[in-house]
Amino acid sequence: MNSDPSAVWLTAEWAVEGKPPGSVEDYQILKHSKGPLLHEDFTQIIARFSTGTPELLPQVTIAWVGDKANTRLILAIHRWTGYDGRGRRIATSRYFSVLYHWAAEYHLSYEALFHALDGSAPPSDDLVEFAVQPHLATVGDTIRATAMGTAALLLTGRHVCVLEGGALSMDDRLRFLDAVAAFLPYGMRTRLTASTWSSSASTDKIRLSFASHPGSDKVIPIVWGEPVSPSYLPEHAQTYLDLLTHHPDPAELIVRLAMERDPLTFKPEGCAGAVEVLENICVSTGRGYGEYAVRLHKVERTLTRYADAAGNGWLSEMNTAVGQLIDLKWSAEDFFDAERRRYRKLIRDRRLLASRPPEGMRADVYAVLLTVGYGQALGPEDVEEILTDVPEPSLELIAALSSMEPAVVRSLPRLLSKEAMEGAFAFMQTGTLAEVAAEEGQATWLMALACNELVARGSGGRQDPCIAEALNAHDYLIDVIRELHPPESAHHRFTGHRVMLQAAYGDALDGDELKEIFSRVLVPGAGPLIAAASSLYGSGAGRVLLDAAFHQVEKTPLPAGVLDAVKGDLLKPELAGAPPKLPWPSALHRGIRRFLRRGRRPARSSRSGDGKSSWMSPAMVYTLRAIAISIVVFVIALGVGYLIAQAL
Amino acid sequence: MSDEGSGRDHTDIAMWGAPGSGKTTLLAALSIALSRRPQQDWRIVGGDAPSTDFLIQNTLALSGVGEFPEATKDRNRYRWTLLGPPAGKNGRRRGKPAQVTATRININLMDPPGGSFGDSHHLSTADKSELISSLEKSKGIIFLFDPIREFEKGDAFNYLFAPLSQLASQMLASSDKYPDGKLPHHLAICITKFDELRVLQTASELTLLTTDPDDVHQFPRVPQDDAAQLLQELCSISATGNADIMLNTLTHFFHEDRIKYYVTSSIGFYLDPMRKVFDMADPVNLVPHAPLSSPSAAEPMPSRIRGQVHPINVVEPVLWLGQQVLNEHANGSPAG
Repeated sequence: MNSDPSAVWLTAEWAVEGKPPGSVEDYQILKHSKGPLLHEDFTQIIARFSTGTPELLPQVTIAWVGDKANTRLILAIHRWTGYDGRGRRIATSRYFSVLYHWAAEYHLSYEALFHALDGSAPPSDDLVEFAVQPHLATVGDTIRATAMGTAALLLTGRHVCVLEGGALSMDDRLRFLDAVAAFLPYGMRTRLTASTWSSSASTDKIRLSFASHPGSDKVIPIVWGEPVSPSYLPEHAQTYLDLLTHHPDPAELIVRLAMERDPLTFKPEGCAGAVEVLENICVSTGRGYGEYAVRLHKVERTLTRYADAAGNGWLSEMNTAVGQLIDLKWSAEDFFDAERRRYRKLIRDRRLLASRPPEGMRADVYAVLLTVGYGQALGPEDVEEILTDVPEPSLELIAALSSMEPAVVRSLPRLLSKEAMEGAFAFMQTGTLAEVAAEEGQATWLMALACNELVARGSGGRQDPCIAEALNAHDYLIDVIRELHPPESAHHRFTGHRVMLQAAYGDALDGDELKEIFSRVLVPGAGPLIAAASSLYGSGAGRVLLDAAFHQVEKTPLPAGVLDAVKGDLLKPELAGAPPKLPWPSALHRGIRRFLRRGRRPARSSRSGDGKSSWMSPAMVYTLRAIAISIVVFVIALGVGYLIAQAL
Repeated sequence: MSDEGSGRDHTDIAMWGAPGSGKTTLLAALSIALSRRPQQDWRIVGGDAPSTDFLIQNTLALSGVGEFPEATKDRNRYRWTLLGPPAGKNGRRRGKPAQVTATRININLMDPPGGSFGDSHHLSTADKSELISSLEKSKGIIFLFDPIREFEKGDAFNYLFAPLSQLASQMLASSDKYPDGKLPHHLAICITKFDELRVLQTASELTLLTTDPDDVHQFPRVPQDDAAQLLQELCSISATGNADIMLNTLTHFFHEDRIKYYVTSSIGFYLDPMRKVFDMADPVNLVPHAPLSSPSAAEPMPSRIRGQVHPINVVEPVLWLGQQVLNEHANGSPAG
């Protein structure tokens, strides 16, 4: 008798299957208890959960029988006992049946039941009375990952067999089965069958078993000690595994799962229920790891609320949900892939991207939905998927798609008419418009549409600072304007830039604005832009241009003396002539000379001709001077061009 | 159906017999029997991992350790392929040697616990249905008759009648596919445990024993033509006297010209390793094996195979069934 005060006393029905020694008959039920379970009940249990012809014993099989309040857990212990009439070993199986609600109440592990029942000798007819320690499985670090993966695999509804576990002891294998069960809600034990070994022919009868081979293609094989392949995990199972593996305290999780005693099956609804149970545990437990589950719930709840409101036209509800959606500020990097797939599925199932929220918030809603469901950037396949789901996208949706993936605009012409395209451009963010226009390889007419839309946004006194920012980010669309107008239409390029600058800055530029523009003009083809900007500033533009040019020079890490000299050259071009002597250290001078010698042109001798002079290289001085003079001449030429344009 | 050369389809051969009649042991001996054939013309390979495992484990257990397979607890399915000599001529075609294609007999075989054929075994309804279905789909049946069991218990008929009635009901009652009212299967009736002294002595007393002149070991055999006579004689000493009903039932339900009788032994007779010739005075190859902790006299002991395993008529029924199905396939004539 067990005198441990922490043990609980329970009873079990039982049956013994085997052969009398010396028998030539098949296996049969030799005796059984006289309780609610009858001979035919045990016959059925044995037939349903057979693990096949035994190879190595002892082994343990776990099964179940009954429904609702009559559900019982079955523990079968198989051992060799004696020989039959043909001299073959007899595999005797003792089946024990314990009411599920007792096992659940005391959170009994299979291992605890095994140790409690293995030594018990069935009385003649009565139930077996046994003492058992009410404790849960303890899962060691070495098997935790495999156990969690296997638990998630079982939620696919398919059977799982563990290969290459033959070297483990029966106790170790039973411990693993317990660990897997511990990472499932306790209620799933009402339908869990597991065995420490089953023949390949029987893996289709036992949901989880150690075996030599999977009996059929329906059984998922996993190799002992190796991680579970994600390819076997559908979305809900992957979510379950994510939740398990991100939990910082597996022991606490096991306790919480053991408290989930409501029966659950391994059918799809039961597996979905298991995921929900785990999510609820994570939410209610809070703490750091709960953030994911909290987010999962919150996002799904908000999406569902929005879907319900949009579907029923409940404007007030929709407004609330939209507000909550826009408040979803979590960065997309934090989303797990499986999590995002769930959101995306919900968005697709409820056709949220096809919904039409109130106009004022439409763009924001689409932007949030796309971010939540697809992440920060869309891929071509995502766009394809969305446009398949929503064959007639709203203009705002197109704009939102384009904002996330400017390349999307390329595919729009085959979806939309030119008029509709214009409409779609009206909903694009200003930065997106500039991006679309500047996109490499963009169609000319799309460039023109984007430029027109930019100009339209800033015209009529609606000065838009975003336009200036977008233009600056894309070199004031110098390449785009050049692409739109042929070389012989220089005045059109000039006009194009001018109206664009007016849209961005208004009819007159101040010094800072002009400086900002000129900071981008030291590139080929910038002439029309310089002219346009100068025309909006008036006299003194040349000085700003020189300042801008000098600002570029300033960014170059040159010695202060050199910078001063160049500044003088830029601002006083008439002083060009013999460069002043500069008090540079000879070491620095030598450095510059070495630099010049490495250039394409052969280095000239120094002014003193001795090669040891502290004077600056004439080549450098003349080069800098030539740049300054070129810029001044260029500005003068542009001024002339401007006067001509004014005259036109 | 078997598909010569392609190996795509499978000849379904079912096994039928009472518990302990030696179904699994016969399968385990198949590989050894093929290896011992002087012609070395056929070999067997597994079609899937469990089937290959079975071949490896049980062949090694029988031949190496001298152990029988464990008693079957659940129905097992095996897929094997028998690879034999090419069926046609291997001449030259347009100056090039023709490609040699081995004859393939693919076997899908279900090995259930013997009790499944009776009423007492705890097979689920689905499993019983699958068992009958496997018999229905099969083209050939190996029926094992255990004369020792029949002498002691006389219950072979019990394990024949119920499944045969169900099979006939499914195949013959609701279809005019078989207008002659007979089941289309080829039936190899194997009288097992020829190595048992009582069976050997009965055959000897009936002067049915002969030897194969090509057999260097001079093992006794019962010629195929005389096997039916031995069976009838063994049936006459059935414990219940029902064995003759069993024989009549078989010939009523199956075409007589599709039945063949074989006197078989999966382990064969004992062969003195020094003399290497069968000795009628010391024929028994299966002996009790007392474990180290000596049990009481009343307690059953494990059996052990004394010497080498020399299966008798194990390959022949399987090859015959396979060949019949191949022939039917080649002639395009469906069974029935």
